[in-house]
Amino acid sequence: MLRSKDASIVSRSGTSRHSVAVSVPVAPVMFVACMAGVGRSPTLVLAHLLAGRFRGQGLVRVLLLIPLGVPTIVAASTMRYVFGMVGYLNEVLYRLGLLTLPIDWTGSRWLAVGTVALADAWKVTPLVMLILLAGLQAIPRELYEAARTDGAGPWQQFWRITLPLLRPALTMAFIIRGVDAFRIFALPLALVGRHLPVLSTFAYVEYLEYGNPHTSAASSALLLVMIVMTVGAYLRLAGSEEVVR
Amino acid sequence: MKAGRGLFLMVLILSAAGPLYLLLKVSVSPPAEVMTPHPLLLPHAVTWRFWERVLTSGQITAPLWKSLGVASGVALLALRLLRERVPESHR
Repeated sequence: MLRSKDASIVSRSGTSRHSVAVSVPVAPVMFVACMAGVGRSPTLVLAHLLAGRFRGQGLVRVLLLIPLGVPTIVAASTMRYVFGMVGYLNEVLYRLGLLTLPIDWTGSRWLAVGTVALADAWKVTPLVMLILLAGLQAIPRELYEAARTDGAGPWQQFWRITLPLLRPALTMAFIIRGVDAFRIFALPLALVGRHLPVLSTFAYVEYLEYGNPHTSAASSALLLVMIVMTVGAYLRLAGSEEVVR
Repeated sequence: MKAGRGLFLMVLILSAAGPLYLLLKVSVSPPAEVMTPHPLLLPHAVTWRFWERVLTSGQITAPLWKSLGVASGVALLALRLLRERVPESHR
């Protein structure tokens, strides 16, 4: 480790730790944005599909819930087989004729964020699905029957009954997933390494590798403040009664 | 509508189970099948040597019992609490 003239600490790779530190809070926000935007809509559709009755429903639910039981570090190792340069995603895309040269899925920052977001979505989608499924099953069937009698189509039923009555479950899912996304640690560290620092990995590296518990504590406290502010802002926007309900 | 739902569920099941299949596949595949520019999607030469190495290393017993003990204990406790708290009519 070197000290440059302006006293900013420069790591061996030449990356300024200060510039890393500035970029660190951005990463969790990007994760949360990715999770909130990308993760919830398909999960809502999925929960909606699973709420209906069909053949093999139990088996499908069990299959979709399995990733929830996989430890995060195992999920990260597994995702390395998928997203590695000689990984299976590149191979599948190559066989489908969609690419000729392998893509380094964790090479650039934005691609790495997307990769970690996808890997995280794979692991936690079942949790959101369970929350939304519980919310969907709590909606009285009589409301749908009454809406059908009044001539409402499936889309109208979804927009006017399902979505409004699902708001408490959606709020809970957002808060749990939002907090979870801020706390993300093992997945980016094991999947991308230190090229994609987030606050929790920054705190870890500061404490263990640089022996600086004060910086580590400060960044951890910053993470906590960000979580509290985000949850507070969301509750203010969505209405705290949604959670109490 | 039904076909679309079936296709959507199939894609989701493949997405959910695919990485788990790869985890199992890699555990029984020789390195030549995995660490190559074109890894094979189906296991061709199955080998159990990595499983044997894990099971005979002598280092698996302690972590296995710890995990099994804690998980079983928590599950039993949860079941016990559930039986006590849930009224007979709701079981």
